[in-house]
Amino acid sequence: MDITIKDVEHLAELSQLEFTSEETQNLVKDLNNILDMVNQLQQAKTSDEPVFNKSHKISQLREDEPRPSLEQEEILKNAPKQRRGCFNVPLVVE
Amino acid sequence: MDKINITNQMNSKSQSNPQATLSNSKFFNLSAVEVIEKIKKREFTCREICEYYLNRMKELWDKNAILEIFDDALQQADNIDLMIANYYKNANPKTALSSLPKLCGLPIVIKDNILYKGKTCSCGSQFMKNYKAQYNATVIDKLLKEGVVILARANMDEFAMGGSCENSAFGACKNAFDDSRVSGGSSGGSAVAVACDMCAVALGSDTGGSIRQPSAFNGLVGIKPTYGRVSRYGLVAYVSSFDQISPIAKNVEDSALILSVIAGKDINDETSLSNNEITTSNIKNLISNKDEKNFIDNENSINIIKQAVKLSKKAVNLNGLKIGILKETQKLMQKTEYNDQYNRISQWLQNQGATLKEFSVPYFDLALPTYYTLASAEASSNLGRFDGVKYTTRSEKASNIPTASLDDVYLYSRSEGFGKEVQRRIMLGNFVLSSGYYDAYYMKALKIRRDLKNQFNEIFENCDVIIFPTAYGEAFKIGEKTTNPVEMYVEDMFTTMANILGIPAISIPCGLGKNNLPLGLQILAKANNEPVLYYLSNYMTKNYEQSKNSLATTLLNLNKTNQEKIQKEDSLC
Repeated sequence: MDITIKDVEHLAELSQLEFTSEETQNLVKDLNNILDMVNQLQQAKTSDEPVFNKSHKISQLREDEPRPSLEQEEILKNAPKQRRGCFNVPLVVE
Repeated sequence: MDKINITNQMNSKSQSNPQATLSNSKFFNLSAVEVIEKIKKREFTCREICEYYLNRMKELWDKNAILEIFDDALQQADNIDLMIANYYKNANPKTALSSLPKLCGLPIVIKDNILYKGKTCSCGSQFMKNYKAQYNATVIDKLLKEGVVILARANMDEFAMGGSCENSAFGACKNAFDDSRVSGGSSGGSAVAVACDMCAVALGSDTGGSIRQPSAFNGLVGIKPTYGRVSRYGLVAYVSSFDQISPIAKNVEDSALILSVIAGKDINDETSLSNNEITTSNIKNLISNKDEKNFIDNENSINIIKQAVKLSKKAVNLNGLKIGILKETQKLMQKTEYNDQYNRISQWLQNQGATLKEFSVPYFDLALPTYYTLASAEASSNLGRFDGVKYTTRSEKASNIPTASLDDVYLYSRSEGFGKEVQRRIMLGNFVLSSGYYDAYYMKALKIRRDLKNQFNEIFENCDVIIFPTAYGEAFKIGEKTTNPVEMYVEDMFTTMANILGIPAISIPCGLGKNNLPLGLQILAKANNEPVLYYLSNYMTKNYEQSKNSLATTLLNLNKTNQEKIQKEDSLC
């Protein structure tokens, strides 16, 4: 199975990335090269046991107690745009 | 701050006194343990050795190992010196120096993906170049509490994706011993900083070999501990189920010391493990002395890591140690010119009294595709948070077009911000997770991981450790493997297994290749068995001539090149 230009365009949409047509061509080539390597997985026979992480303990639950977290100001410090204590983005809902 | 600005600033400073850091200095090539002891005993001040390291960084700025020297580095050092002065003033002279913090005054360098409050953390990416950490990673808190001084942040492949440090948005980091060769990656800057004596020890992170391979390429000791041994809180996530922070060090003892400080359960990382899980059964079998056995039983579990190094210093042979070798890795090495060199290691280990057993893992070479499937899948999800809204730079284009939508902000910012390799892995990750391919790729990789895990568990029933090389050979040339991404991925052949299985693995120097550059040997053990790794690693670096020589020779080379460089500069003046 080969990845086509159409596939790359679809994946770009899922990835929130845009590419020039030259970049798209290169990605088709690169991703197909990578898939040639990854496709080795298909030859492997695997058992039907359930897939779960045996060596790890089941998630340990903790008490749902409040703990201090970052201040609003600190959280906003790295935002490229902020307004009135919020992240600022283009209008989403009319 | 821009890399270029820092460079200019550094260059102008470095002219002041290049002679001061001649490699015959009393500070040259000290181990972390030595540095701490000498600072505690006031043989020199913390400021003095920090100045020496900062000068090394400036002198060797062209290595591109360091992205930024923190402006408060010397102030941190002064605080330590003040603390020591107060200690001597107030303490009873008979009080043990051990009441000073464990890492008192130790200058370290951190990888650019570990959060240090108030400092830039760029992950080697243009996208994050303005990001200032708002809190400390757990490892940073633990290290600061024990008195380290954090000097600088080190170069890395963008978002830790790469095996050569060539994917850094701030340029490739060069190998410590050969400017035309790669440092290895992704923690290349951390490794070169240690190898070039810009610090005694550095932190890196390992997701598929990112600590072990650059350690091998620069003649150092690098450990990837059991998954969960070290908290990931404050490490910028690449593959959450593989990532581990850990030290890169000049010797095994330093590595054990740093790991013993940063390991442990953390309330902020649900996947972190308690130190009580560390097991000692393997090394106990190696020790015949009853008192020592009792000692291990009663020792606090985390101290066992340091204790393993001490016990191995006393060891005169490896009687009782069962070492596994794999048919498949031997076959892979047969194609290389280092096959004999690695076979001699096995021979030597046998001569030391260890028992060698051969095992087979038929799907060994599937570790690589399994890794790239799972890693890219998790990465595509983890990197969704970099969107030009919460952090990371927002595309100018999105800000300038009045009709730009929120989707446009994401689209333009991510397309401009991420480098090529990062974009490739996001695309691959979304492919293996997309409907229609999920079962064939992602699920299949999970199943293979489970089967590999079962096979290795069986093997570890019959041996204490498994050994095979860290990489195919010496560091390769810069630009040699950049045209086809798969060529670079294949470099991770020997390292990804430990991450997939979540088991600990350490890389130690084991000789020099045909270009006189270091080679690495990898030792793997069952989960939570770090003590046996440290035991064998320390035994080898103390007793195996090739391991000893590779450390000594590479450092000698470095010493020589620096002296030649300085002589050249002098003659030009």
